[in-house]
Amino acid sequence: MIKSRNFSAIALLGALSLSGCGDLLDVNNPNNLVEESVQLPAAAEGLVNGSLRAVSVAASNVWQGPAVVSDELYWTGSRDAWGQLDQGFIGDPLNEFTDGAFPSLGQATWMADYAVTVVEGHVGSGDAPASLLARAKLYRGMINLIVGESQEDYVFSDKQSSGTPVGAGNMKSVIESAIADFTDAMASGDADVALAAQAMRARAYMSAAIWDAINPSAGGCSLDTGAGCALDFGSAVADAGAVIGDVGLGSDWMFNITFSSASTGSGQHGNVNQRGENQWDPSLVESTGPGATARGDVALLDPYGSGADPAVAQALEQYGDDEFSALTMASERLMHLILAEDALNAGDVAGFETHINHIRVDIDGMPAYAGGASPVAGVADVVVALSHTRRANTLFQGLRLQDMYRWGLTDAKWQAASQAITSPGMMLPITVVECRANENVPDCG
Amino acid sequence: MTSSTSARLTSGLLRGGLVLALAAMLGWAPAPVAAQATGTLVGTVRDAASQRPLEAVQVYIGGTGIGALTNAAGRYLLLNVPAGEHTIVAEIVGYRSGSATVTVGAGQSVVQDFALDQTAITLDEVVVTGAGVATEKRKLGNTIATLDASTLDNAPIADFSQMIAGREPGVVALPSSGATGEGASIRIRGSSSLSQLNEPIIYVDGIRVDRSAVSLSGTGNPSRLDDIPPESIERVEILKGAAAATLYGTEASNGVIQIFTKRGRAGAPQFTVQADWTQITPNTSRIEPLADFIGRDCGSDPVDCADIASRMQQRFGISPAPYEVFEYDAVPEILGNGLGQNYSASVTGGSEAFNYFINGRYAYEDGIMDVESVFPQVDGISPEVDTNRRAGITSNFTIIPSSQVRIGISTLFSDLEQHTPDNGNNIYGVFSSMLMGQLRRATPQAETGPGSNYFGAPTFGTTREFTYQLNNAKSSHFAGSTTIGYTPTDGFRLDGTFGIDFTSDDRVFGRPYRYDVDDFTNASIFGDRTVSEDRSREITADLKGSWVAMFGDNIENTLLFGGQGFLRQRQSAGGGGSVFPGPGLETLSALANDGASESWLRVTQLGGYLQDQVGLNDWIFATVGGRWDANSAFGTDFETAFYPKASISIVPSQGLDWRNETFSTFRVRAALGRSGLQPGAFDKFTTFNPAPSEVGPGVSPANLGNQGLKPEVSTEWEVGTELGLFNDSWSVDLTYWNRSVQDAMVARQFPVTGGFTSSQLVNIGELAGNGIEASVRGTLFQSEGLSVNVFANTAYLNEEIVSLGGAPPLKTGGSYPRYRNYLLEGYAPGQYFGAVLANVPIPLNILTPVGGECVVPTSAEALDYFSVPRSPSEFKPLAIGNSGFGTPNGGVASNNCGSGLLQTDMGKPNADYTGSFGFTAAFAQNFELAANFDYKWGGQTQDLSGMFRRANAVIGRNTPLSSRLFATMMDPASSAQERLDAAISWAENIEGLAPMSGMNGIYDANLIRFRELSLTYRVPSSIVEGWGLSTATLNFGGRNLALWMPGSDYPGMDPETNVIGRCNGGLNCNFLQGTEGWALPLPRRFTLSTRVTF
Repeated sequence: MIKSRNFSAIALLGALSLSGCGDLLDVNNPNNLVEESVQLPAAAEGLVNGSLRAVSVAASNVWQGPAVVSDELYWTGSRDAWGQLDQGFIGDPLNEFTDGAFPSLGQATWMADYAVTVVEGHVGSGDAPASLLARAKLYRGMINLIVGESQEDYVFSDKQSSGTPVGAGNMKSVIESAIADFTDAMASGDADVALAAQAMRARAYMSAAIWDAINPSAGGCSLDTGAGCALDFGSAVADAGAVIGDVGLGSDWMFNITFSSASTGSGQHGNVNQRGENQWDPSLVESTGPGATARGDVALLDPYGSGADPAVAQALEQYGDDEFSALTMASERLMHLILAEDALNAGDVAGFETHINHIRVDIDGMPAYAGGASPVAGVADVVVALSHTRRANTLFQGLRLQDMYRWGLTDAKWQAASQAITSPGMMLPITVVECRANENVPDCG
Repeated sequence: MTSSTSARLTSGLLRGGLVLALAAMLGWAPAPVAAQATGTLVGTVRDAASQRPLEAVQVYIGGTGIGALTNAAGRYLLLNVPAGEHTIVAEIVGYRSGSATVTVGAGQSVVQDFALDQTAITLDEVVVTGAGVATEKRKLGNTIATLDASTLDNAPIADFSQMIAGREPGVVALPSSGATGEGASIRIRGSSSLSQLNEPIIYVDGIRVDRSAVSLSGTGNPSRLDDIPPESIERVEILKGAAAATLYGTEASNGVIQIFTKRGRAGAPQFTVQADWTQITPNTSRIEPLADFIGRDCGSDPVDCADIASRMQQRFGISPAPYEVFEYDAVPEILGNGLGQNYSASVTGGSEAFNYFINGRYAYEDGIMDVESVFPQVDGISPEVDTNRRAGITSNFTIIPSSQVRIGISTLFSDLEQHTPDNGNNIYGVFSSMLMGQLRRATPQAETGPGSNYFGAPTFGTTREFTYQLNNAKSSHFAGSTTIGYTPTDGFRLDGTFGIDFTSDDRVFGRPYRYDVDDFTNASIFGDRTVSEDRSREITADLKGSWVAMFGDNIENTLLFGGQGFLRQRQSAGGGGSVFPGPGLETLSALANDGASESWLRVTQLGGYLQDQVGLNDWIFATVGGRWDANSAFGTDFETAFYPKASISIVPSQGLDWRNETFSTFRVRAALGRSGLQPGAFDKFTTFNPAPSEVGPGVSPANLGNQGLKPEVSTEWEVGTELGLFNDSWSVDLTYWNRSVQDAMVARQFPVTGGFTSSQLVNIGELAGNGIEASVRGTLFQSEGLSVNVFANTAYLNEEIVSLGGAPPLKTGGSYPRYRNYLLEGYAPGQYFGAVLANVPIPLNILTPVGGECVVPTSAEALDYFSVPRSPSEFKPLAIGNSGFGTPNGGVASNNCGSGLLQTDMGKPNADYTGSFGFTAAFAQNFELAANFDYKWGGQTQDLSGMFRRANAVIGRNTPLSSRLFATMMDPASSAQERLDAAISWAENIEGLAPMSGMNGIYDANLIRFRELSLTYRVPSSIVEGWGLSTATLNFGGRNLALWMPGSDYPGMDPETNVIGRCNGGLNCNFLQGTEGWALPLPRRFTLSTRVTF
């Protein structure tokens, strides 16, 4: 029989064992940084770099959906949720691909905002340079612009605190917040950041005007007459002109999001170039090969008889054949398009032709566009010139679907019941992954 | 010879499983015996029914300290038996003991044979797992299942997974796939966690071992448990839940499996050599042939159709009309008979002071994938094979330096090489590629070259190209332990076990440079390679003591105390990238794009326990105890966990004046206990991942963090009874259990717009489960030369998620819509939800929405719509569903009229009933026939690959029915009514993909599988002795011989396979076991075995 002193000895032994082993229970996590470390000034640059990465991932993921809905990509693979998008069903919050892309958007908007908040503190205390804050604001502006352009509605949350939806009718405010960030970033003193920010601001002003045109009701334009097809881009004009001045006319300057094996790949390019779920629309590039996934010659021809549009060929080359191809956010070409459209809107046809020809002649080496008889029966020549040049020169930049909406263009694969037909102007919804977790967003499935 | 009921010893230390200790003590018998006039006793102990020699029977002369164990031939030898009359006893668990009175004369050698009758009830069997100290089962109030490996010597099993499958109610081994080397997942009493791995923890000879899968691409993942050669296993003990596993504390709520390897036996070396040859035969009986019509590509264009028809003539020998459906059974062409080989040898022997057991094994299996015979070889590039090679050696050494000290040393080393062609739910899989075949795209040439498409790959790449993808692993596994037992005084014992389990995995996935030999695939055509190196280390330190004391004549008290420490550390490093500069290069350093990764985790667990058991008159036993645990994974707001237990066992048939032979044994028992499950190693931290950007190193949000994390606690109670009937020739075992998991960790998804997109573990859930386990076994018939023993068991399982603590429903597969398993309050874990077809005459959505709703067309509208050829892509089935889980509202669910409404209850993946039944028949003295059938009843399975094959526009619509319906709808010669009828049939039988508009591929999946059949011939001893052998057996076995699905219309290939394979945790791993997708059906296996001992 065991005696009571044995119990005491055992208890003591146990207590000593556990107390002596306390250190064993302290386990660090060398795989990740804890938040306290991220908030140190020494980590500020990594935080801002991380913001860029998040923005890059989000752009590549989120732009896929509208690209498939529009006439940029079409579905060739096995997963028919892409087919749904291809048929114009853009508003399904359960669509696996838009739902799969949405978290990257959520991470990017939070990360960009977090980086600005943390770095602002460091700059205020003199522990970080203002240029770093400028970069942080540039990236926040970029992701908010992507949100404003691509989303029908959105919500900004903070960790476990659910935000409330911005509202479909208020999404222009997200673009305007991007404009404010770009403005701040331009004042950084870092020439490259300032240039990128100014180009992005030009795009943001342009997108705000386009948002007006397709929301809340899509007025659209008349391809027959050209009426309403050009928009007043207002403040975008000055920015576009300044950017062209900085980069030099005909330089074909681009502000790109880039990818590599050292950082991350592009989801969109992985799906197209590797998996083959989607492919360039046959109206852009001919499909060849047994799997209909190999690309042949450029199919989008210059409406003025110069053969295959070199802008598409250039985009095709940029698109490459792997998952590390760049995405263009802003370019000299886009600046010219802004200036051209604004001129057209003001009735300055000569100005319109000038900027169209900066692209055709100065950048692409094509014959000049001189107006005249329309190459498309029943459609105003300037409209043809504008719509074609915008399509060829803004490929895979997250702009095509909005242009199709505002010009009343439809894709042959859109079904009559699809939102692209029944609700022109509709962009990506808040998807089920958010609405299930966020009590402020109505249940969407 | 007489038979008698076993005389029970009071000390658990001296029973059944501790026969070695007894033998050791007997060996230390007093020296003066030798000085007396003595003789010798020899004999053979056999199974009375089958006449099979029984090994390890304890034969002794009571009161003399003389005893021995029988060898493999059933022989025993007692030396130095004092002259005179003696009662000699033969005992082994599972048999009635035999006794005989013999007279031994000085210098005589007396022969005394025994034939023992089997008993169906084994309450005297000694177990140690969960009891802390060697204890007879009858003293424990909880269930503990034991598996005596010697009873499976003749079963057609190749690995541990097969060894435990279908043996014990409530213990389910899920085979996952027919891929060579695939390990099974193990579930005990369903799911005790919503977020953590639901596998039991595994011990081998007292130390915890790695239970993970070796993760390859797709399925085909080997299980670490299969590193342990079945030939080296003596027995397995299984604790089914918290009531039994309390002493194992945190991590034990899924149950505990402890494997005991064979120990040495004193005596001259005894060798056992075994060789197995297995033919592995593909089972394609449930795979529908490919079907197609060429009009899908050429429409009615006569020129194009003539071209395709000509190609079909060359490829398949037919020249089909545009809308003529033709079939070709292509899938079996890449499958062929595989071959498995297994060679094992073991030796045991030694003296009373030192004995040993050593086993070596080499197993090699070449599976059923057989692409080499279809495609001509290509220089410089070879297809991945499906092979599994395991070589291993186990050893056990027992050293007894004194009567007070006993030292055991155990080692296990296993070396594995596994190759598996890319497979599973994977567009690059070889088998899945075959299932996607589009006959009209097939080309006649099997040779490589642009345009070669021998099986009509629709996209992604040709089957041949995918065969070149590398997917293999090389693994090593070492487990070593030392156990020191010290018995300072009678009844007091201290044990220390120290050991390490180390695994090393090197995994490779890659594509060679320009493997696109058919110029088809676009995926990484310049090659890619991913290398992963995982090192896992589990260290166990276990100290325990027991004190057995008698209080008077009637009360026995057993006090148990102990402490344990576990340290688990896993390091992973790897790299990957793409684009080789040229052929022949196979290293990361040759890649143009590459990246590296590294991770590390460590979990430390420290615990202690105290338990006391009181036995009254050796038939009433009460046990109370508890365990304290600290764990490095707990949050800082939580320090230790306490898990109590209590149980009672009453054996009236032993304690009362019990003379009923009909109810010969009767026991009732009850147990209550708790155990836990820890969070992930780093889930308590708020963290940021390394996330390099194009302008420099960066970070991104990773884990939200929760410093309040604590273990989820499983509380389980069970009551049960065991009945021995007809003098214990039959037994009935009944158990009811009830489990409640509090503070269940839910992987809660917070708003992704909050930045942290990964789910976060929070202790907010509650999970309930209960079940009944019943088994019956006994001797159905016994006569001279023939005996038939039968068994049957069943486990009923009922589970419910009581609460998710306000978290939103969790869906498997994330945004992937076709995985339909959810975690939802009020339902079983992994419940299926979807939409169902509207019960209307024309369930088709062909009209433009009116007011946002789809409209049921009139007959006239439908006939008008189908007055022209229609593709199924142009319309959708008209389906209804629920907008709130479990809230019927009959809303229309089709992507053409909105979205959502996919929340109708469709069943659950875990069957209500699982179990097995079978028989063993011994006949003609030396033959034995055994069969084992598994079954599942009352659950559903999702046929994911079938859904794709039936409905997908690009990679499917290639089953005979879908092709016929499709062709009818597209054929200009069809009438409107024919097209309409085809469309309705399409809606009812075919459509099932995103957005799951009415068909979800979920079916009742009752099944009975003819799992095992074996016929054994034991060469008579008169013959084998002439060969210089002790025993020789020849065995022919079959496995997975037949599958029946009564009452089910399941159309899939094999409902026992699944998309997830053997896996390592997470929502999908836990709850996608009921989704079949692209996995090879389980093949039939026919094994010829020989085993000899000498």
